[in-house]
Amino acid sequence: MITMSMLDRREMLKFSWAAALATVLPRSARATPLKLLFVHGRGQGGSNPIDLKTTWLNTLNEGAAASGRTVPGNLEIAFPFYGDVLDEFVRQSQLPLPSEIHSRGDASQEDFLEFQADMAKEIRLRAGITDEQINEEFDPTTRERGPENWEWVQAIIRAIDRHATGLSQRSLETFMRDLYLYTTNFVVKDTIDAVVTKELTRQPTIVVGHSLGSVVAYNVLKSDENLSVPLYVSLGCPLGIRAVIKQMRPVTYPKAVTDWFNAFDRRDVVALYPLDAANFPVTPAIENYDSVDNKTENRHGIVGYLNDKSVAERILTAIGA
Amino acid sequence: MYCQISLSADGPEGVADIVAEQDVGVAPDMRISAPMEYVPVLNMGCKLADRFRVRSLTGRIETCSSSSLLCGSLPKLAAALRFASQVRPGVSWGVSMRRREVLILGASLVGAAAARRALGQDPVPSPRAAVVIGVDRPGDLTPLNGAVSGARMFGDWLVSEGFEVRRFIDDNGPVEMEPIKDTVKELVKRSNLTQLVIYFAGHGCLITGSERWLLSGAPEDSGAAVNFAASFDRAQLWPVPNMVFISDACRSRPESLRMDFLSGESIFPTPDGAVGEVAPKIDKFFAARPGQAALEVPMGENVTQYEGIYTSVFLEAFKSPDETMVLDLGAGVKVVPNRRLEDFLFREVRKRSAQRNINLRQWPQTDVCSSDSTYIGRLTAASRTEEARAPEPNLSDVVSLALAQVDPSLSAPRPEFSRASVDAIAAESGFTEARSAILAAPDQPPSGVFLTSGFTIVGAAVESIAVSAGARTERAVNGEQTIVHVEFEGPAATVAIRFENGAGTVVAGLRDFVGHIVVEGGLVRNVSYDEGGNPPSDRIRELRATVAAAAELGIFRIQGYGEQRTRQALELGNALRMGKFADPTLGLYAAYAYNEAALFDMVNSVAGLMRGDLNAILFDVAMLNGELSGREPPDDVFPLCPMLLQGWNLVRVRDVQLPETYLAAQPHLLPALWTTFGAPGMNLIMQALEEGRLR
Repeated sequence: MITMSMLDRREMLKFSWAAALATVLPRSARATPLKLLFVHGRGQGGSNPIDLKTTWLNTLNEGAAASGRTVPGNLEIAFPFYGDVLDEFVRQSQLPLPSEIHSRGDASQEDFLEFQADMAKEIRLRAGITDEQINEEFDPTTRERGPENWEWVQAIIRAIDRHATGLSQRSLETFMRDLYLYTTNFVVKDTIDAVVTKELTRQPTIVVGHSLGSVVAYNVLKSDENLSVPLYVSLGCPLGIRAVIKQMRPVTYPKAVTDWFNAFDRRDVVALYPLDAANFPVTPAIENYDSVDNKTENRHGIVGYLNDKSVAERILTAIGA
Repeated sequence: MYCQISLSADGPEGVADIVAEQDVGVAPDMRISAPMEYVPVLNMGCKLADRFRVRSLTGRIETCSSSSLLCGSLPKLAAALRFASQVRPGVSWGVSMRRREVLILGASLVGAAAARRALGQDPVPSPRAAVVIGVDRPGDLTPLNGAVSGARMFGDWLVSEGFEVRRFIDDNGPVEMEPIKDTVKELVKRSNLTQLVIYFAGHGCLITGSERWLLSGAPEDSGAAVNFAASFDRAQLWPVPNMVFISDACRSRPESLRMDFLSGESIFPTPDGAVGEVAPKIDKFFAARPGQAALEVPMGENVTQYEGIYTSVFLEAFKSPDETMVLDLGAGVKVVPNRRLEDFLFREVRKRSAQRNINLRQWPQTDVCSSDSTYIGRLTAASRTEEARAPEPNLSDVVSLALAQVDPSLSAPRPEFSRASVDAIAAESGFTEARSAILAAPDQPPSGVFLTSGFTIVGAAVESIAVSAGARTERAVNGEQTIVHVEFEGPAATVAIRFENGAGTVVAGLRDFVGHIVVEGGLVRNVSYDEGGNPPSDRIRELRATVAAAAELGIFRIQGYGEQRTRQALELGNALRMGKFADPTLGLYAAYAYNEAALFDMVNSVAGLMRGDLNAILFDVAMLNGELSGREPPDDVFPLCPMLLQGWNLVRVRDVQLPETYLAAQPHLLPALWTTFGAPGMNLIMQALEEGRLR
């Protein structure tokens, strides 16, 4: 395969000069100033949006400081907040967590259980959880012979919790439930999308989405090709998981987005699959960056992503800072 | 074969190497450039080599001329390789490319990003794909001369339109079912797939009211055929925004018994678990209407080369379309949307078949529900638009006008056609005769006979009747009409009626309803019901005659597109219900039409209303509503088999468990609109009912 390291020197120089030239071009040439939009993930209900925004911004500044840069003080930053809305939908849905289910639920839960089973299986494969490790979590006295053994799926989730660095069983379960709600229920999707869409105009905007927020941002950007997004940064993004993609078909590259930078920690269990041709086949290709060292306990927290030097550099370069 | 392209830095400078997994025997003068003129140019700015070598892993190296590879884009190279892989199927192709060609991308960031995107990972599979099937020689049937060549031509054209094309043609070996199913499975699982075209050229026929497309093993192998109805039914479950079925095959009814056994299979798999919200828009293009043959004719004066009229006209639509067919998408891209093809295909195919022989009739049938911007092909530089010609009415216009005459809210006929012109098509197609015959059949018991629950049968003498447990019958004959009184313990029962020639039918007997069965030539042509034996209003009689005639010709469907289509569906539902179900068979027809239009909520609505009114539900409606899939039928379902012949195509694909008796009788189904069994089948059913083994 050709890699950038194999480029011959003369051509590399052309690249470098062009890149350098692009970064120093006066931003005033743009018709309208850039804007930064953050789309948060799940589990933010009850939080203060202003505090959250401040946390995100401070973390980005930490990352920027690593390369001696700062986020411009006058930069317009939007932080659409849908945490409470999502919580209300969760309450209305009355979907139980897998560990709260002791037998197969009624028909209305079948799709939900299937979604979680698909997702858990994919995560465990990528995380390298073995059958033996799952067996350790599995009660051998009750084994269904049905096509989908729910106790086995629960054992998978417990094994992921025990053996993969990252989310706890409960965090993983709530994450899957919220992801299911958003991707399969058009009322939930439309309502949350509307919260984000309200903050997007034709003004060129750098969009940063985290976790469920990266799915929301993708959906919003895909639905309006008249938006102007020079850079979309997805962090800890679960879009590479087949169970999620199935609900978003057909996957396409948002026409409004010029560049898509997907960053993840290889230990983040919900972002294990890079958004490449095998897992997320779109053209042009998405740039995957898997070297984030997310210091948060579950390797998934936003403060462990935005303070990454490379992530911050990409955002700051895009906004011309 | 799918073309896997991996890029590496191997090979001498300026040379692109195409690497195959095995010896492909490429001729030295082979040009893989044939379809290149059609391939879209993406401005990626890279240059390719001015020649390349074809190399197999067995070490054989052959140099090919490839001046056309100076096309300046990776997508073009990809298209060329796909073509090469189709020339030599069974080979996985790849290309290695020298770095220089890639890195002349230029000194812009855009160029750099493009290079990284193009080369940093495996190729992204095409979002547009096609399965192209061409079978000249199925079994020992009369060989065709133009199916393979037509499929090849159609496949080439699709490649030029940017499709990834998988070909199954019998010039190098038999075309079998499993590889086709595997390919369709792989494609529909592709998460970025936006359009899938299924094209078939070869022998076809109508069995149990639905198309079979014959593969190499047919008719000896009853499974070696594509069952269209089953395939369509499963295709509706996949979230591919647009799917297109194109068939250049006969839709005539077979005359030999062995063809009747051709059950065929769905080429679409069942999705594993719930899939996304996207409901596919499925467009259907048939070369002929039900009952007609599709023709292949010598090309010009050349009697050794043949072409299918339909395939030829289909491609012609993109070379010389009428002005009104063209949609300008901007940036110099002009397309012919799927929904603008119908008039052209009808006019040109009809004309060309008649030009060959004044007695030949080939009327293509088109059913498009995709949006106005959905298209398969673009106009090329060589395309020439023709002045718009006045369209001619087609079969859809016939039904549309007939429905509007019953109730203006039911349909919106195109205003440009005179009634006389539509009537002419109606007469020529047989619609007028079918409708008149249904209207003329006596549908009331003779005066003086008081009948509130039971049947009247005309067109055949009744030899015997059997009913399920809980019902009793009495029979009387009045001239050519047989009158059957049915007493019920419950709301409904299964009633089997054997005619004097041994054939017969199975229908639902409904308490407080009188069913009217019209038999012609030993086949059940129509079934209708009146509540309490009361004569229906003229409007109801006309409506059901119109719907039944359209169904008999295979042209009853929800008219219109998009919102108009939904509105028409609602109006039809209201009209058929008339507050209550004036005639349950109207609900039956509606359920089939809704199902075909993917209006599943409407099917559910019909099922609910039918249950509310009858305290029972007809088998077909329950099946279409998904109530019978993988489970025992509820007690209120009658009879325990489809009443319309076309329903039999869905039994297997919907995982419906029929009683053993009906499964054994199924091979004896006769080609009628309503389920009609031949004598051996009726023997089994009568015996099972009389012994109390059937409900």
